Amino acid sequence: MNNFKNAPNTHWNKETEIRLRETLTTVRTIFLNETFITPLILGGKECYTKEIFVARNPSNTKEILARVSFANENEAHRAAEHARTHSDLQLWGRMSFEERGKIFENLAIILERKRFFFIALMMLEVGKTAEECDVEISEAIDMIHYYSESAIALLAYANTGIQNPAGEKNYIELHPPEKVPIALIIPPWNFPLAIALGMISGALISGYSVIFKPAEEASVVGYFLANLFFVAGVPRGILQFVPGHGEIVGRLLVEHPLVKVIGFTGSAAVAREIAFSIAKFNYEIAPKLPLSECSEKRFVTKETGGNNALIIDRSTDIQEVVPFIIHSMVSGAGQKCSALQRLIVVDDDVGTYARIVKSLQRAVQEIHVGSPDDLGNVYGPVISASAYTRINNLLELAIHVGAVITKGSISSHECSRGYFVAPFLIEGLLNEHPLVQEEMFAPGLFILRAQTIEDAVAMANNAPYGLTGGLCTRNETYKEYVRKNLDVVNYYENRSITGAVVGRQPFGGHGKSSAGFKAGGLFYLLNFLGERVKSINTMRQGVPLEL
Amino acid sequence: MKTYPNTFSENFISTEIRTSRPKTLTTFFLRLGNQYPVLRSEFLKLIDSASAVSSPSEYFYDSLRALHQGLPIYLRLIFMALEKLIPRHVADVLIRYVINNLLTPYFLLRDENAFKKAMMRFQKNDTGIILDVVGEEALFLFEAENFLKSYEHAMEMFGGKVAVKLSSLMPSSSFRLGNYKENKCVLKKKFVHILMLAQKNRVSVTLDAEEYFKWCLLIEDVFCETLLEREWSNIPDVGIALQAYRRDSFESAERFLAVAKKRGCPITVRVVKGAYWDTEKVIADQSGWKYPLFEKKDETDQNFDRIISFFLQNRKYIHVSPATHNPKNIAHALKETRGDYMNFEFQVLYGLGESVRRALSRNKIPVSVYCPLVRQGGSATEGLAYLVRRILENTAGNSCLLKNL
Ligand SMILES: Cc1cc2nc3c(=O)[nH]c(=O)nc-3n(C[C@H](O)[C@H](O)[C@H](O)COP(=O)(O)OP(=O)(O)OC[C@H]3O[C@@H](n4cnc5c(N)ncnc54)[C@H](O)[C@@H]3O)c2cc1C
Repeated sequence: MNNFKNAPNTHWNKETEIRLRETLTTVRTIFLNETFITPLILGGKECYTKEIFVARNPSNTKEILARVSFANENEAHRAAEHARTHSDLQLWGRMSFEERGKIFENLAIILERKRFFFIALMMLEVGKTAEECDVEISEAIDMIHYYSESAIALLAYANTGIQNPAGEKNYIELHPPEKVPIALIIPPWNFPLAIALGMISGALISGYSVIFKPAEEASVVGYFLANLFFVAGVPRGILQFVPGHGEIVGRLLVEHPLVKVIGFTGSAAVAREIAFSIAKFNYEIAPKLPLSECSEKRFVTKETGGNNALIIDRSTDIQEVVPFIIHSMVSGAGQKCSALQRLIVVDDDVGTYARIVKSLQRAVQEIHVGSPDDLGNVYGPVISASAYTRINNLLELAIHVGAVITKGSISSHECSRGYFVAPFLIEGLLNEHPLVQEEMFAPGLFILRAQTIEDAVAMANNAPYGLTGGLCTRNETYKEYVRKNLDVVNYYENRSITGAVVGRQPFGGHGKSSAGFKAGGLFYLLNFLGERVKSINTMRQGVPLEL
Repeated sequence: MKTYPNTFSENFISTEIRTSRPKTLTTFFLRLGNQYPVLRSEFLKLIDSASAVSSPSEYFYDSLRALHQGLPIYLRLIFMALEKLIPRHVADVLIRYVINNLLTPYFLLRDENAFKKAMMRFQKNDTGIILDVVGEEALFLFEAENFLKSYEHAMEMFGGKVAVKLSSLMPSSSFRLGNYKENKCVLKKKFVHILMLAQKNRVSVTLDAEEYFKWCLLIEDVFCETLLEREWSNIPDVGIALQAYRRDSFESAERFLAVAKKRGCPITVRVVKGAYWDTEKVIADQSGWKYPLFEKKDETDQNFDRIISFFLQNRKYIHVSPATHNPKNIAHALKETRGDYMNFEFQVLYGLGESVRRALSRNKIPVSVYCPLVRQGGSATEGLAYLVRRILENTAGNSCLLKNL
């Protein structure tokens, strides 16, 4: 992996700001408006349906961005059929990693060229800030490079373990284990580009034919993303773009006998449902199917929620730690599986807790919330009306059980237009409380108190997830203890606990809330690939034919 | 009567500096840090954590033991002996004492009394003073407001030259990367406020130069645009610092000249090399950005000379203050003045620049000292970043300061 280098984020300055504003206007006038309809892409052809989903800007729900053609059962079936029968599948399967890599190199170049277009698109459709979108695009580009390089590296590495005595030639190949490799990819809306592109690329590079079912709320980004693959040179027949309702199209595709592997990132509840239907298929349905369809289904990667904790003690520098906390808590409006939900203060002297809380209360008052169109805002809206209601209910409930809440403010003008939630801090609940235990997915934070570092770690570990977590301190003994004992798959020290970078902090992976090899890591493709060994006898009647 | 050489060669200045240098425990530490880079990072970590962890000595010895390999035997023995002989709690007190009472006062003035004392001492020696209110970025609005009050107080207390960091007036909570237009608007208001205070108190202000990746040319833009406004186009006592380590610094120099010509009233420019070389390097590396600074020290030094020459050729418009401790750059600047010190002065840092200051004022060359003052009610860690930056700089292998110490 020596050639890999992270794509640089935009250095924001006078010129880039102007360019962004211009792109926003262009995207608004040329692409996104009421008359724009996005199609499905099946068997390489665009097609439209009667079922229309209206994509709105969550910062301003009156602004219609596009009408999205949604698939129904019929189209879902067709997608699976195309994935199996299209002649491109054979072609794709026979290509080497290097050959596929060339196409992906192309993809990275095109995406870099379209960086500002995608920034604008995501700002409008999912309400993320320009900065966040920019980082996401770098991440997407990184994944493309990283995965196509790691395919080659993994293959080479697997072969270093193989012995070749005289008269015998052995080698390993990496292929999808399924006879007809069809992958269903269901990404979330919170990283509509990077996670979608990462999972799809992983499957494609491994040789799969992919059915891409975008999140409803990110269908428009999904459409442009699917097109990106085609423009880069991915054969049109091996990627089906099937937007639609999760409960209808998603479920049907998950259960479809042709779909053999499923990559999913989203809520824990849906992940559980998918796991259940996979099990049901493997034990009940598959045995009754014709031989050509009866092979088992599997989850390739699964990434669900988080309930992440950051531990701080009196030796941290408050000036430095407050920005880390705020960023971990509110970036992306807290709608990240890596977001900070529980701040645990080791309160071993008088005043630490109070000092930190006071600083945070101030900070929360000064966070600018509003449409990402205004570049001064720290974060934008939450994704939907239901998310908005869920969070407000949670706050009411918290007050009801006696919690103390500090809330930031939002201008009433913004409030009336979109789903904006002010940042909030909740004190006075115990770690065991169901409200604290549940994943919040909101720009808020529970502040908890621990007597000792051991208590703090035990508290942090006591949650149904174990994704990210961290420690801010200057105390070396604490550092050692927490590194050893905090039960998370991504640990961060003296920094914010979100913002994993491809190749530096491979993300997720086997743990309490996720399964598979880490995204953005060397082994990610092993989620998809299987090993095949070829052993060739190079002797003929006792005479070596090759030396 | 003593005769003064009419051309000051680099050699002459070096000798002058060497003969004026103070010998203190601090300079000893600095030299040690320079010799052994591993020690340097331990010193820095120790300073950083001394106020925060309960036992700095334990921390210090632990980390020293881990890097014994990098140290010569005699130092290892000394450290081992110290560890054995001095009980922990005594060592803790000692370490804190050294940091608070030797190291810190060497770089910083800790209160107004210290400042007044220093002022009297310098005035006796015909040395000017530039007051710098120490502090880093403000996180919150109220902090930024407090900073503004500190500047106001400083201007009232002391009617000389005041250095201003615009970043301390804009809380990070309202600074957003990529929001250039808004940021500029806010900063312009702050700058105008400062200018009004300065006029009222008859002090002159200079804007400090800050981190490049964060501010880009924002501070310069604010400075230039404001000074071209009719209201401010004829105030003379206002200036800005220019960092010669920036690849594009010469363009800024030309810009300042153009602004001065256009407004028809001179501008003061403090030419420095730049204090954030390491920080910017890390940011560039981590972000994959092109490095906007020179990568070789020589390039910075030459560019520094080039800018000084350029400004001295345009003395009618630009009052230049070379802020350096490097004999080579000092000699170059002196040569370019041709013995005419009108509207010209050197500037050096408090403490570190003491030997240079003595050498210059002994030869009747105008010099001012940049005095970092910890403000009243400022937090304990406020001077820290400044301190660490100075130590990094002065224990870097290629720093001229060490040679002067
Ligand atoms: C009165 C005064 C005011 C100042 N105000 C400011 C200010 O507003 N903003 C600011 O940023 N700094 C300021 N400084 C600090 C100044 O930028 C220098 O860091 C400091 O003066 C040391 O430079 P020197 O010429 O004295 O020493 P030298 O040892 O000759 O030079 C050291 C400098 O060289 C540069 N350098 C070191 N290594 C390299 C390399 N590998 N490649 C390229 N360049 C390199 C760095 O800038 C480093 O600081 C000020 C200094 C003084 C004296």
